[in-house]
Amino acid sequence: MKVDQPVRGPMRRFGRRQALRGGVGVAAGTAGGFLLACSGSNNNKVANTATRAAPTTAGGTGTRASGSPGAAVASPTSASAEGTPKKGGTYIIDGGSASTEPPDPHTSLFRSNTYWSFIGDKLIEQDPQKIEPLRGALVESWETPDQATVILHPRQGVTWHEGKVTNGRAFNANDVAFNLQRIAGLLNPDRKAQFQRAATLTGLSKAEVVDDKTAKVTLSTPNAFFLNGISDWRNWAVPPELVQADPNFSNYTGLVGTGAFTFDTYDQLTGQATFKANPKYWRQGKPYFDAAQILAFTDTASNIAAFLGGKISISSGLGIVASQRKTILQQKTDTKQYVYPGISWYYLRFNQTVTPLGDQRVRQALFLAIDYKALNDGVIEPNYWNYTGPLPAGFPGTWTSDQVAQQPGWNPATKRQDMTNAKQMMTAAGFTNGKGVSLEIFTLPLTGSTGYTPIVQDQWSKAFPEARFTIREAKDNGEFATTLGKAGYQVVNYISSPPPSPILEASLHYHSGGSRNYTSWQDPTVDALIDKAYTQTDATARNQTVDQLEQKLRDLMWIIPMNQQKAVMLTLPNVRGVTTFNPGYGTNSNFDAAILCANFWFA
Amino acid sequence: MTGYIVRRLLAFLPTLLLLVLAVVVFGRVTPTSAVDVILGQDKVSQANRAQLEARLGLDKPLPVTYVDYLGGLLKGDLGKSLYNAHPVTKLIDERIEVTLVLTAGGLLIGWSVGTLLGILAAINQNGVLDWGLRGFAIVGLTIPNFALGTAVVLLPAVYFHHPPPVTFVAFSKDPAGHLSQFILPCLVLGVGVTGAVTRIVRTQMLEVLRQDYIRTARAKGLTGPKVVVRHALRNGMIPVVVVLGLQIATVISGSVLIESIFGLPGMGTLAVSAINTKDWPIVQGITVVVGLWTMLVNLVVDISYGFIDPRIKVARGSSG
Repeated sequence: MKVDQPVRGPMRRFGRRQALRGGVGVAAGTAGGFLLACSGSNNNKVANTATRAAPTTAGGTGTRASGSPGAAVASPTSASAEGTPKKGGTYIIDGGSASTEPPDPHTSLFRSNTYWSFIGDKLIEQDPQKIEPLRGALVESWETPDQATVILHPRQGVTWHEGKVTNGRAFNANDVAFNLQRIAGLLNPDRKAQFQRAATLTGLSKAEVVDDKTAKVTLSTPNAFFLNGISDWRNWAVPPELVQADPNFSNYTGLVGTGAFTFDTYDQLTGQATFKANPKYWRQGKPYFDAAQILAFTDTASNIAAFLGGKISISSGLGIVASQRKTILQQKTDTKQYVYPGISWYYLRFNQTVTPLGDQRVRQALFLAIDYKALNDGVIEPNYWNYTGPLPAGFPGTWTSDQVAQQPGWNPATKRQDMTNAKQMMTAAGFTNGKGVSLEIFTLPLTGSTGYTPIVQDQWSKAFPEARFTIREAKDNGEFATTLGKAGYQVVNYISSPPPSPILEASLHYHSGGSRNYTSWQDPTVDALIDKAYTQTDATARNQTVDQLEQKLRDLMWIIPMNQQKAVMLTLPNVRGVTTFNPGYGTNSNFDAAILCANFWFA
Repeated sequence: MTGYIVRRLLAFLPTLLLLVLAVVVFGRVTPTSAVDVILGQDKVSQANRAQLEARLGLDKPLPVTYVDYLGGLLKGDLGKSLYNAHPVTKLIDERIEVTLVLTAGGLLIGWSVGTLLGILAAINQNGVLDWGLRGFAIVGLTIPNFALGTAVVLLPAVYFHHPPPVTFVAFSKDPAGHLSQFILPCLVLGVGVTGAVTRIVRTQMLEVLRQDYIRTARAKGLTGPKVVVRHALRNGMIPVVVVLGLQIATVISGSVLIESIFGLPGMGTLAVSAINTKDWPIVQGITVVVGLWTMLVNLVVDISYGFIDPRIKVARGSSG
């Protein structure tokens, strides 16, 4: 049976480290924002200029993003819309960082992905325009003869980079088996906990070589999402020779992949790196750039300054924070802005062991009492966020953002009625006007007085005037992580960047055995629906299960989904061929820009 | 003088022992460790956690850690990074030049400009120049160097789309570019020092300029500059030098942010990165190096009293 559809596996989610770092980044940007506020006197003039300068890409479909002065929003483009791609030039992005963390993609927390997105490939990947169906990368095709077996065929004609430990040898079935076993931590049982992506390959008991063109995977438990797990964006393929020669991944320039670029230089003091185009890249004709460079900025202000000075071709990170984005769009009006659906979703998670959060009526009342439009417009800006349900909007089978926006609780048009219902529910639970309710909202460092938490606190306090809502800010990221892991919170405000399947995400957060289900929420229906979806290879049937699951989660309200933040890519005006991930299987980092850049060129 | 230096160096020992104790204890009493960072916030079994702690050497009792650290320090070994096992001494060695140049440059600018401005303000007491310089000194003292640094980086980019250098250039690649990238950060770092030094020098000079021997010198027909440089300045510098020694630590801490803003890979950025990842051996190593550095500079400052004012040397000699 040929399978080109999605798959399963409870797994770690990704992107949280970016979020953790992002919190610090927001704070670091405050000084810059403060200073730039001084230049606000000419905002209107600049905004008008920007309107005239709006790029007309994708057949001239550039649009304006309201609420963001100077924001010219370009749609993803096709090569034909911008002419014939040209070869040449050095593509420069920000996002490097000096760190003692080794660039081992299978154990790295957050730092190695930008580097690997230049030099590496994955075995299987998502189509950038839609999460499913999956498409082959280094693995060209696959079959699942039964629920416990997956057969993978490596792409022929792919070679590892020349001149390093692999010396340009062909990619083969052993590479496939080796990487799957290593990602799962099977090759390093003594330090399996450090293999961050092991959970993406849940159920993997063995990966072996059948012949040069075939690798066989044996699963200990059925996992219809196994291939999705392989396509996790951090599951880069590394050659066995590299691991053998440099088990600690201490030599950056010795890193070998099959990707569009080869590692050229690395500055260990700063984390800056340069890459050369791989002349034997298996995606023929690409990349268009001769070279690529990663610059490192340890300060947001200097990062912004470099972009304004034209020293960076593209930046995803700077577009995320509204104040930074506005500054750039106001001051450099020919900047192209690409806004596309993101996948990271912000939420409030309840601890049911804390009175009265075990009461579904209280959770529903708290859910209904939040004005999501006011909350998100206030924090993120209009048009830079989407509604999401309990599972990430836009994923196969999940509710779309528009569908969510029509539902009570999220729908701004029914907010008055929602508030009435919220008060009634709280009263029915025995807490009239919230009397007797005392809850602490736990949040990331530096977000206790800005962002979502204080607004939620304010909205809840107004809805339930006799309740007491306080905020506890984690002292550092380590404390935040530890507190979550130990379920030492009452309500926590955080973000999730899901793996490439709604069921993978559901199994993390909602399954009784999920690694993110910190307080061990349990519901037999939820578990059954998730388990059922894992065995469903038929997409229509699986989507129906996803819908049932989402309805159930909506009723249970263990987690309040607040929004999906959109991803934003900013480029210099001469960058062409920009595509984006839609629906945003990217992250809040330059990972998008790096991995997609093989398709870009300079005008 | 030699005996004095030896005694001072010996006095370093208890200070150093306390410093090491502080950094070792600090690394242990913080509520989270590298293990928490590495494992993230997933639910992890105690066995896995213990396994990782043992691998990183974080399971040893505090006294053992302390003694091990001291033993290593005697051999010049500051431990290894918890993440890539690189020796901390090597990591610091690679970055110390940047921090040294930056802090030395900032101090040099601050001391020289501040001294000059302080003298000018004193000899023009209550004049327009004096008021202007005092105002400048106050501004220099009060404006945080990270805000000034951010402005210096951002404003040219915002208004002229021409940012100053914000990415590091190695000396081996471009010696001129390497040196020139320190000019702005040193100036920024030096502004605060300038303000402080200006005020102290002015105050000291005003006091000295009122002394009888200054009046005598003038009565002898010496010109103004000669009186100031030969007689007033030298006698007015002792308190200034004391303050300069104390400023070392302030400038080093200030350089952490300046390094970040200007993209200079010094010990400050290394420390910030290590703090974020709870890589305590690096934090401890940097703390010890900075502590030793501060103690040494203060020793040099103390020794310099004798050269500035021979009476101090005599006093020490007679008491010793």
